[in-house]
Amino acid sequence: MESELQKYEQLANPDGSTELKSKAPSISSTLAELKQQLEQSRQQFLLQPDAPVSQQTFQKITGKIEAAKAKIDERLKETHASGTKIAKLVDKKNPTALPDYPPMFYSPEPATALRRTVAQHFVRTGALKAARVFAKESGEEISPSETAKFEELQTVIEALRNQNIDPALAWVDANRSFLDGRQSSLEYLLHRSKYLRLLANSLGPTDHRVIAYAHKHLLPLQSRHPREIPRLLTAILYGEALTSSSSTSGSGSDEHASPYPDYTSPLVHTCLENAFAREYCARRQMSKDAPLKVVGNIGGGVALPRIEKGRKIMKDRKGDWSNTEEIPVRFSAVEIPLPPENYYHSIFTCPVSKEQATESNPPMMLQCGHVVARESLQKLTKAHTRVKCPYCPKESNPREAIQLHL
Amino acid sequence: MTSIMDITTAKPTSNTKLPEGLYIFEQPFLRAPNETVRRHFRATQKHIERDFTALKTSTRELSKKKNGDAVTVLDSMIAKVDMLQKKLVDVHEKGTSPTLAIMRKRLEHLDELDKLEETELEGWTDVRLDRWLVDWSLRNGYHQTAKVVAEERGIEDLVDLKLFAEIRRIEEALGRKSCTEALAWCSDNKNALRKNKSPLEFELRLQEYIELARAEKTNEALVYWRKHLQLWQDTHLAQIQQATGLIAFRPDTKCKSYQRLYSTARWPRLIQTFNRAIYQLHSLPSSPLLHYALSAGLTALRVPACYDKQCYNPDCPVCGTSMARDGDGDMDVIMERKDLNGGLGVLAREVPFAHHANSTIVCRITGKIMNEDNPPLAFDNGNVYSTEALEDMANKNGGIVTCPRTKEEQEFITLKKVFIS
Repeated sequence: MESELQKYEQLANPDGSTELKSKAPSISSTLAELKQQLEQSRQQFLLQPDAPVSQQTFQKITGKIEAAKAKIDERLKETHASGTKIAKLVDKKNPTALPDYPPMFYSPEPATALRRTVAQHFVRTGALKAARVFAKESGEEISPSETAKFEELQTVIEALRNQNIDPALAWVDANRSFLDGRQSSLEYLLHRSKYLRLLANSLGPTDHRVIAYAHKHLLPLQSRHPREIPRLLTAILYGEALTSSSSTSGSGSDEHASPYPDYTSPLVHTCLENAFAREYCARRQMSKDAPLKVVGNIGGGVALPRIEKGRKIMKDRKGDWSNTEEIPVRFSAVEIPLPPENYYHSIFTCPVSKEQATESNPPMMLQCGHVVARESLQKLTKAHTRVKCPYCPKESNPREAIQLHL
Repeated sequence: MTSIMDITTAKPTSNTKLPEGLYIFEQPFLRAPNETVRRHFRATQKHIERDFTALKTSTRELSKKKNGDAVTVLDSMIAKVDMLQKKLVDVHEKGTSPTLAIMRKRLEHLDELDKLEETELEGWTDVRLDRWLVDWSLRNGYHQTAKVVAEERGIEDLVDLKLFAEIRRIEEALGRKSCTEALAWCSDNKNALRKNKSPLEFELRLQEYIELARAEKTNEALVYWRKHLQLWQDTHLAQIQQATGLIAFRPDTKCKSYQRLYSTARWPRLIQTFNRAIYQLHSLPSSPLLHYALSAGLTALRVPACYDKQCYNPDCPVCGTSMARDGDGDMDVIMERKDLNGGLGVLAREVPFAHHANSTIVCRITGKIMNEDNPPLAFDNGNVYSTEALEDMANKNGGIVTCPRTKEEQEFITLKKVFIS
């Protein structure tokens, strides 16, 4: 397409180059020629100002104008042909159009919710100028506390990037009970990073700064991380060998190569940003990723073609059953595959009824450990006393089935 | 618009590794500037036609004149040629050439996609989200916001600021109850509008006629009717016939059908009709691209659990922002959430729940999906977690596990294995 664009640019340019494989000259040169001819006639007129304009001259001028117009038209025709070609290439590049949907999210409530989401999106992606302008233009209020939250997050992340874990640790201290409740390993990850950095710059196994650090910050974490802490502590014995990879330290030193290759990976430090953001957002009851981004990436990826396919299936089905009343669509017709990180809730689809569990129809575990939805359990129950598991030979008392909270 | 058939059967032309949904959103991306290129071409054509017609008219004057008087006619003709040359260079330098540059930039941006694996899309999709936000802002009249986002993110060439500036200019004119600007746009795009069967020009003409009738300029209204409305009789006969009677009614008429014509509510509808026409002409979809993406994305994510307080997950875009969580006793958190008052969850009410043919059980502790290698285990209270998480807990607590939801303690070995098929 690039070459066609270049061609078009030359053809459409009135001053376009003449080297182009074009039958017609550039418009500018045609016009210049016409102008010259008119000027010539003008000179001739001045020679005999009192004579009437001869029929011959008149026809000559008319002829020149028509010739010029014909040349220009030829040039325009070529330009247009090139333009048509570009349009075809453009269509070929993206052959499908978005479906024509009725207006979405236009009633006041969703419209307001979307404005609010956009305002928050600007704030949390650090586009503070856009957030301010948007607040002014839309009347959407952005509370300073909202902005402050993300400023704090930004500050800590910035510090982590500069190998400074202190602001992050201060936050950990202030939110200790919350983090303990989540069994968070953030504090461990922070100290591990700092300790390994000290180790990399240490003078050797006797460097008291490293030992003091391990004593003060790593040992208290041992009960929570019984396997990792001793491993970290013994790493000190390797000193320099920990950081030098086996290839640079020569062929004979393989036996001294560090058994802790993971400690030299840059990941031990770079993972902190994400780990901190996750805990920080959870503490503030905010999502880890900007919601607009998550939904946009899924909606702008696999989802739309699938949904359209589903719509088509529904339409065909409706065609077959044209007299039946339309059932309101509660579930989409086709499944949209999601990456594992986008499963935010457990989904239980009853293997018997193929229906998704809800609050009123929750999953029930039979004594054998197999699970069906409550409505299915009721249907499978015979004479109110026994239920035979549909997946194994075992029979059990339906009253002993346990409601699961997934 | 292409039919549904095409959407489900057409394959992307380039990168087959990527989901085809990515490409569906990009049709307007190249088409919109291409339409602008075509418009500049039409402008060039128009200048040439108009000026050459004028030149020919001037030549006719020559025949009856003396040479001396003909010189002035030639002078004006030469000046006309110069002017035409200048106008054409202007269209090229200010219109065609910059638009082609934009097309090139967009083409490059689109070609970047072809080099990416599905896992490397993040940077590209981040830019796309910014583009969508600009498009959304422009369509909602937040022009300053759009401009700032485009500038700050350096994506001016990837968004249609100029096109929307024109849309805004015409919209504002309609807002001032002036049809002149919109009619000028119609005449620039006559053929395309006819091809799309757009009712815009007729509605604008009808409005101008209504305004004459409102001002009780009966004669002028009649002249206008003959000149501009009559010719639509093939397609809009009923409306023309009704309009004919309008001059017999005063603006304060009690007659319902004429009240409707006199109604000022026609003006916002004209703006909508204009929007539809210009969006269609530039291959822009009728709704903001962001709406398409959100509607599809929310359809994929919305599950009944999003509305179950017990299943609340702050990371979930559907329920994470839509429900104030209560009962955790953290006042500071509750206060903060009050001002949220619903995010994308409110939008999600417009879409169906996601269909899932099979169960997917997510561990509440690790966030990982459970499977045969990491099967679910149940406490006596029915709360379920992954083996991996509970084993880890048991190792640290001498074989005792604590349910994070209820704080109930239980021996690891007494947990019950759950079979979910």
